[in-house]
Amino acid sequence: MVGTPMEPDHANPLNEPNLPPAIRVEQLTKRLRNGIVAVDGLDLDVAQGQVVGLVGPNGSGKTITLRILLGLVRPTSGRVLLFGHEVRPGAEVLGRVGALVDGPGFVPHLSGRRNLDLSARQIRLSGGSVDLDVAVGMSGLGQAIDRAYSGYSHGMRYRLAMAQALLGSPDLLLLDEPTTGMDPSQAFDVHDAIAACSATGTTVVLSSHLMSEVQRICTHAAILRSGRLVATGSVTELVGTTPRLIMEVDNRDRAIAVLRGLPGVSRITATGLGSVAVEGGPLGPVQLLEALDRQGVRVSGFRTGNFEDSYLDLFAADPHQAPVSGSPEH
Amino acid sequence: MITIEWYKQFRRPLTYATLSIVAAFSVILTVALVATGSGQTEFVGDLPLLIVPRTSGFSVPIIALSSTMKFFLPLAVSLFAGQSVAGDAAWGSLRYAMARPMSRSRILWSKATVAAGLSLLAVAISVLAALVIGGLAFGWHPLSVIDGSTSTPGHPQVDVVRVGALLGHLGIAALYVGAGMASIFAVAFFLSTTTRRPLVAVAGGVAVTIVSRIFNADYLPGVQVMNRFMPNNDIDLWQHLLTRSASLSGIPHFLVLQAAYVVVFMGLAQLWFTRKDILD
Repeated sequence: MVGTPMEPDHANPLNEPNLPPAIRVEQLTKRLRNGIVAVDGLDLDVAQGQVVGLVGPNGSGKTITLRILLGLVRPTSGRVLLFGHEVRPGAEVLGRVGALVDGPGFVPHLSGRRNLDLSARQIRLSGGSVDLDVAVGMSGLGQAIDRAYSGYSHGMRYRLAMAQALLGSPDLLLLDEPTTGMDPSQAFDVHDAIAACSATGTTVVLSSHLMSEVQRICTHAAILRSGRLVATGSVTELVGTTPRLIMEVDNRDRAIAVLRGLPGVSRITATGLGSVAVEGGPLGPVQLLEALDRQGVRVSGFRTGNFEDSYLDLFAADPHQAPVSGSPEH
Repeated sequence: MITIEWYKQFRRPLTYATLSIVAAFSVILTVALVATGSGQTEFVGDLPLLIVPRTSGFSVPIIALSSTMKFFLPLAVSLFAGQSVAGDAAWGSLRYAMARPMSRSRILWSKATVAAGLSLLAVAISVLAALVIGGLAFGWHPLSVIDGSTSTPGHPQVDVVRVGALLGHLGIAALYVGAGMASIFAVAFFLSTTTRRPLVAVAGGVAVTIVSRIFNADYLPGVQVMNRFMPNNDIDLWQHLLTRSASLSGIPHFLVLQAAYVVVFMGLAQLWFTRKDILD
């Protein structure tokens, strides 16, 4: 499945015929004023209720796509529909969206509570309803909610931003790298909040550098590169349905030659200087290792594949567009 | 939306500081006048007009407004207008306000209203603080004025201006100076929509003030043609109210000029802000 954009219907297994997709992006192109094409003919559908990870290296168009979805940036061509309504700056349908884009943004001299209150007032002005106390509780900031925002730590700022994104009980949550710079326990809190939202039917789109994060909390993923969609599908599809093994070997070329000679091995990729990935086939890990041993290839490490490897594979195919080195997690 | 913007801007150290400094100027001025001799006279602007400050507390707002209108008030107005949009963008809170179902025009004009309100507040504080502090120091008495155009050397013609007339003059002066800040406000506010660096927009407003000062035909007769379009040069016309031969004929031109700056630059701000891509 990897590498082949899927048919819209297939990409939306949860889509019911009478529900418009939460997001429909059609032939979206954005050329910036400096001439860079940030988004290049992007097509993407997100069905209601999905949790979709938007992944790709820096500059692949993730953030700008989210900004277009919010009406902050106008497309050069193509269009974007949210719940069947075309997005324009200040469009009414934005009342159903909560967002965290490019990090938190609050008035520094006001308290966290006052900042949330200002957002709540604006939501009420456009006809929405908000329970401020619930949002304050959800932020988990305790006493600190009444202190000036300028004194908040990085993690506190993101918690406040998440509380703001959830303020109007949105039907669609757009989160741009919501766990940037957080320690693992803070990140888990965010993941919990996203899972809780998703459980109530909220559609979630989040961009991330962390493939493990996408694998952990997303149902679907869309992989972007240079403003184009490289692959889309469910996370299981992208990780690969057949068992996939990554082995660290002392002689990669020899290992590849040995594996090629084995029956039923469908896909062999050199994933790094001293490692090789094998996919498919009836042979289990033990048989593969034995085969390599017999031919004198020493295997020093061994693990089953995850989504991150699929992602790195995609970029390894094009030497000019290498992804950011590894992932920040490791 | 205006309430929201008011919270963002008013409870802000920069706002407090600016308004406090405007008020503090009157205190410093009063202290300086107390320290001078009782018969000391002061020129009002570039006019052949002298006032005797210690005869009345009304001298303080007249001197205060004469000094602050040339640089200090333009700076305060540039601050309020220049950081209005750009400051919000720099905080990052602007993009969240704009990702809501609300027209960009409404957001823009709420910001303009609050920034304009704060600018007028600065002008009002400049006059009112001086009026209160001056009155406490010298009493709210009639003011002695010496009109140089009707006096002969050795025989000063001293007029005494009544309190009611002084209040009227001051009211008109405050309105006039307030209106005269409109051009600087509009330029700084437009620049504020084009950048996320508030200081750039503030500097733009200050630059307009300085350029206006440079191309001033009073000091540089060769620039007569440009002088007509400089937004800050005729801001001192209200001082003529205190003279016998009040020459107020330049006021309509000045007000039309202010209106022209407002229409052009607020129009540009509207055009730019409603069309721009929000990338910060």
